[in-house]
Amino acid sequence: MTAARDALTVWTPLPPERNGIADYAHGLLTGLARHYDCRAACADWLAEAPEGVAVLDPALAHRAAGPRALHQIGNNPGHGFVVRGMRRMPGVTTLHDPGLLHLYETMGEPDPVIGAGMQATLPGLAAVYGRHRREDGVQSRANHLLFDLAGEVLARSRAVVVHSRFARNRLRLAHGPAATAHVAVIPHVLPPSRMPARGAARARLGLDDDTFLVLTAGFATAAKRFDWLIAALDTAIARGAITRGATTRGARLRWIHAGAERAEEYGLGAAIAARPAVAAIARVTGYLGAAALDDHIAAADVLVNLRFPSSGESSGSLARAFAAGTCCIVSATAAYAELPRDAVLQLPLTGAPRLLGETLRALAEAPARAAEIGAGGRRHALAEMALPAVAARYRDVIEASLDRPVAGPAAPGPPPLLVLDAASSLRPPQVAAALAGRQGRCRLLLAAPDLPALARLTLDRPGLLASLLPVSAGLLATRVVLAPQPGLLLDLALGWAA
Amino acid sequence: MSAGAILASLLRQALPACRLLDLGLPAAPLLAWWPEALCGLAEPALLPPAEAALLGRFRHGPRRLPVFGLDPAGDAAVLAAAAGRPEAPLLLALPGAIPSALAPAVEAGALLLRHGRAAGLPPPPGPGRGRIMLLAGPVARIERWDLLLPPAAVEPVFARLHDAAQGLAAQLGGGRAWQIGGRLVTPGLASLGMLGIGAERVPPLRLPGAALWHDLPGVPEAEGLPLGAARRLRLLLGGMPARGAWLRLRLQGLDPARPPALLLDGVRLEAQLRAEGAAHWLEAPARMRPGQASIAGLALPPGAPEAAVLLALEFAA
Repeated sequence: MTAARDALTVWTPLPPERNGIADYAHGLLTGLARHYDCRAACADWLAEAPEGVAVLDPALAHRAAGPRALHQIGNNPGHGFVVRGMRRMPGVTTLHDPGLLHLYETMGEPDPVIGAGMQATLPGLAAVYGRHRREDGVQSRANHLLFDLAGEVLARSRAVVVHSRFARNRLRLAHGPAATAHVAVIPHVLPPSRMPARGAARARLGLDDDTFLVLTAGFATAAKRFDWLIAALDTAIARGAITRGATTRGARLRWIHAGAERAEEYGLGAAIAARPAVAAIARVTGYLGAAALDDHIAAADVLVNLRFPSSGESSGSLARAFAAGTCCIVSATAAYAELPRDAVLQLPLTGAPRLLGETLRALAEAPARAAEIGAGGRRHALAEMALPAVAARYRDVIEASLDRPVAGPAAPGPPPLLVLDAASSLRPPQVAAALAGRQGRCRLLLAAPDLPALARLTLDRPGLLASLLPVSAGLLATRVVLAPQPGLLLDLALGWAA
Repeated sequence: MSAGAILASLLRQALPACRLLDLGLPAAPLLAWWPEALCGLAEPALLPPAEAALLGRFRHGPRRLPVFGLDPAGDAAVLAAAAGRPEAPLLLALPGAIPSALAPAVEAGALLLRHGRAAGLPPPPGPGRGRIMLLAGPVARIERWDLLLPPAAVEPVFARLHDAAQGLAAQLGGGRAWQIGGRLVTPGLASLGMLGIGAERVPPLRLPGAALWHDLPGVPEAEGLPLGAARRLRLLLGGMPARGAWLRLRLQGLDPARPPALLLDGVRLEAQLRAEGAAHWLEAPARMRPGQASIAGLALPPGAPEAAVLLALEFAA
């Protein structure tokens, strides 16, 4: 007879959804299933889970669920159901990307919730940027770097897992040591499936021994610095280091981007086409399934996996390259700077295109050196990122966090009533101070000596409420009241979603 | 839980004009066997937020009535629909106390079906009521309900219930499978028992698509419940007896090359698709869980046509 095991509900995207977190979760579930009876709550009821793991409709996941829950969240529009699940069934949350502003914006969260998230990150700047966003619709890339929107995840999770010390430190700097004391670092995981042999993969892709393959992978975004790689290749070709696509030892250079283009984020195809010399050796495959992606990574001589700026996000392609023993070039920044020097080549941010060009040329001349670095990466990954070890570390975090309290829903009963004197001197900082630290519904009475005085105030200060209320306050209703004092009674929703 | 199925079957025959509001959620033991029934919660504050969010998705009928007890505006719409016809008295099935929002309906004379013994409870507000004690279920797990109704109605309703019990027993294994007994104690007090002997027997559940509680954005049509562009559908069935049977959905407009998935309580079942005329049955063996409302689900795969219509649901051998 088998002993009963604890149930674990894992809220996560899964394949066939086309993102790295779905692949990561599929692999992790395989490892976690050795410790728990796993169920996967997934918005796609037809998603693919490992054998023995049932896929659940998230709307019913609370039923028959035990206290153990794990949420997989990235800065991806498809992960809104995981955030909503975290609110109802708190547990351990893996933050694959500490910056969640894009997710919150695309999952339809109301402005005050986003404002509260901005305020939790950088209270001083949130007042200004939040008003630009709310009142003028100004939304820039700076917002995504400045405001991580991770405050709700930190407050509502029993523990938070990130993949690098950089990500943990970044959260700590933004939210303080107390709010991040429960953040643990668990490295990314090696894919559970065996990577294909290099020779077989190259044969399937029609690559001969003389081809030196530079690979990039995943969705093409600006932060992956394709501009640097294109410039590096273009310059190297122009200087004759790589003549007509061939190196001095006669190797033919090819660049394949194994992934899809998101033209709205970065026009990869157009950028390649603008450099005819690069276009002659480049190809973009479009989205690849796991097997085809593995073939490309195993067949490559070098995986170029750059990031700048980086908010601490992790890379599934890098994990696959480690597993395959493929040489990786990463940016010397953020989480990538933590990787051992003998496991990857770290490219400085200053002068990156030139250095990258020289590095690629050197590796193409001496592919054995690339193989050596790839072997180092594989040794590092086997020691730190093997699935059984990672799953055991998850188990430890889950078990240790079971009794940790989390921020819960607002207490039942009428919302609290705050009263502020609505004199002409009333300014936004006073209102913000009165509402600071509150979550959920709240009533705020802007008290006036009498109704004529209230009328004068609103005439003297057009747009009074918009100017007074902080970006984290949602105005649900207003009423003119006589009791308990004359004034304007505001029904507010503060902070995170209920 | 099989008592709910028996009781609903008897009461529908004895009180055909009544509109049932089953306030037994999150279990709602009568709902499935009373196709036009409304449903709700007697004590919504006790419901976990996730279950409240789940139940809040469902709508019923052409007016898209919601589950009672989750939202004051929705409750008003349910009450208006439930009490809108004098010729169709309201029957409230209550697991416990009467919700304050329903006090006016009770004072106005709504019939009450209370789980457990009502004899010791204070009398409900409104006109005086007679009582029919109802005992149902297998002999090992007898459930007691009290039907409170106008005193003058006790005798005729008791007689109709008795006849209905005899008819139902004939359909479900015959007289040897059931103990049926009861008597009119006084003009305002009666008792009736329908107790199963041996294997638990439950009437087969067959519901037209248009009568189902669903979470689609649209409304049912005469022929069934059109899915439109929706790729997924949840159906609130109510509390079901804990037994194994075949869960079947009859669907029109499917592409057999892209068969849909059938789910129960959020988990996919091993389903098969069987053609019958121009429609298909999507069916799978299933075991219902007691104590909570069962929820069936349907998921269409990518590329499936958009014109599917749910014609009927069955839970039967």
